[in-house]
Amino acid sequence: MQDETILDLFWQRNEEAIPAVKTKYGAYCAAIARRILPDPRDAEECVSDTWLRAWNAIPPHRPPRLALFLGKITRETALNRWKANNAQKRGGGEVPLALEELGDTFSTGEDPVGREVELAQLGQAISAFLRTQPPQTASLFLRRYYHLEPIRDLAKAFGLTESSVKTTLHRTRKKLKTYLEKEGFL
Amino acid sequence: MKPDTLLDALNYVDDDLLAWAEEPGTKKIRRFPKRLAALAACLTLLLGATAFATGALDPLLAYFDDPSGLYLEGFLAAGDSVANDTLEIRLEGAIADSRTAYLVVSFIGLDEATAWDLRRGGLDVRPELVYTVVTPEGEELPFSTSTMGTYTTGKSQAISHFEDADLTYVFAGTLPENCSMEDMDQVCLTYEGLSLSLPVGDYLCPEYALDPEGEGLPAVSHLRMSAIGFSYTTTDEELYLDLLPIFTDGTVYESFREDYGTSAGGDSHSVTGHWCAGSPLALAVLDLNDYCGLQVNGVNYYFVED
Repeated sequence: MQDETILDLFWQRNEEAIPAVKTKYGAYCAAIARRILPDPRDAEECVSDTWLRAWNAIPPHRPPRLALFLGKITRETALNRWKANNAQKRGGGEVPLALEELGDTFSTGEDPVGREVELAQLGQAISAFLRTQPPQTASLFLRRYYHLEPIRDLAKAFGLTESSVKTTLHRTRKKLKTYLEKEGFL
Repeated sequence: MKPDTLLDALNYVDDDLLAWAEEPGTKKIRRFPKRLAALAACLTLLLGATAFATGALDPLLAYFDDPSGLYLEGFLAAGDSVANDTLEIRLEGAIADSRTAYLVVSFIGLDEATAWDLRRGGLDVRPELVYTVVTPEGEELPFSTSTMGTYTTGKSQAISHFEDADLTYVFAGTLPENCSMEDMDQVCLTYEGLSLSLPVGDYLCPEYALDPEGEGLPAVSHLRMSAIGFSYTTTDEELYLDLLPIFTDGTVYESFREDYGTSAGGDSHSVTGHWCAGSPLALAVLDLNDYCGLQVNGVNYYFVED
């Protein structure tokens, strides 16, 4: 089923929208959730929450790219679940590894600014920075820290050694830090 | 800054970047000795960017990589514009092949508030924009897939490479399966009563059908290559094609990088794509006089006259 048709179902408040979106994007969202949440039950619940949040958001929203929209909801829901689990010492998966890598470059001090608006601005700044990078560097960065793909999978996908992937990511994090300092975020 | 703040902020990265990072074509990185050729390509891009920054090149070259210069004058230049009291929409350039039309369109605020909103991202024009194609009978059709993207900088500021423009988008619209841009009359872009139309036939770039040398790939048919992209039909939706242009001297463009999007239809699967020039927003425009075909997963396909 085409995305436009699925969105029409959401807008008509037709409950067929949920099985339609599950069929088309269930595997995609489940893969995102599983990279963040090692417990399959947590991942499954997170994907179910995604359909509910999508149902509540559409309308009034009509996302131009449904897959990305659902992927972002899944990622955000899964990260929140991971943080809650981590507080109860039930964390795991790729998130602690990604946080450790980012922590090597960025200090772990308090954020100097308020959250929601600044997160959007920070996201825009990261976008601008990535557009100045070579395509494979930008792609590696996003697939590691947005999609939270394991380094060994990235090495395989890009035809590189794991060491080379780590080196590229390390250099990119340092360049991002310099860029964010220049832009006044750090 | 806490590392988890960065992880959270990545949820706000531009959609076009996230979509591009997911594209199979962006993942294909070839290892040495092809790296030397890739390095040369990067240097060429860097020199181009430097020249652009100093004003030596047309701003359109930020969106279209046209090293031969063949298309900049002929196909790309457009220049039509429409306006109301607060906003001007100007067509900077366009190019199309039989499947896809690309438009570079600037938005110019005619008062200070509109200009500010455009530059700061507060005026999100995207939800209200309608990008369609019109048949010779006057029927207006939606594109089967339509995407748009723009350059941005830190703190939500949009970048236009045109000095007097506040915001510039690249629009790509792909036709439904079994339709050809050659049979269409106009492409139209409409925003809040302002409508730009373009006679798409004037912007069609050269294109060839391709036939395999010997036995072709069983799951692939109707392979076509244009100056700006390619298309084919496959019965295997999971099939990944490694596409390398073949020069007229028979050698293969080893360092070539491809990028593509897909659209499905019926029992077959129609795939269209564009040649990527180093970023999701820069379209590579090839001089087809330099090429005679495509190598597809190791099988050579050559141009044939339609």
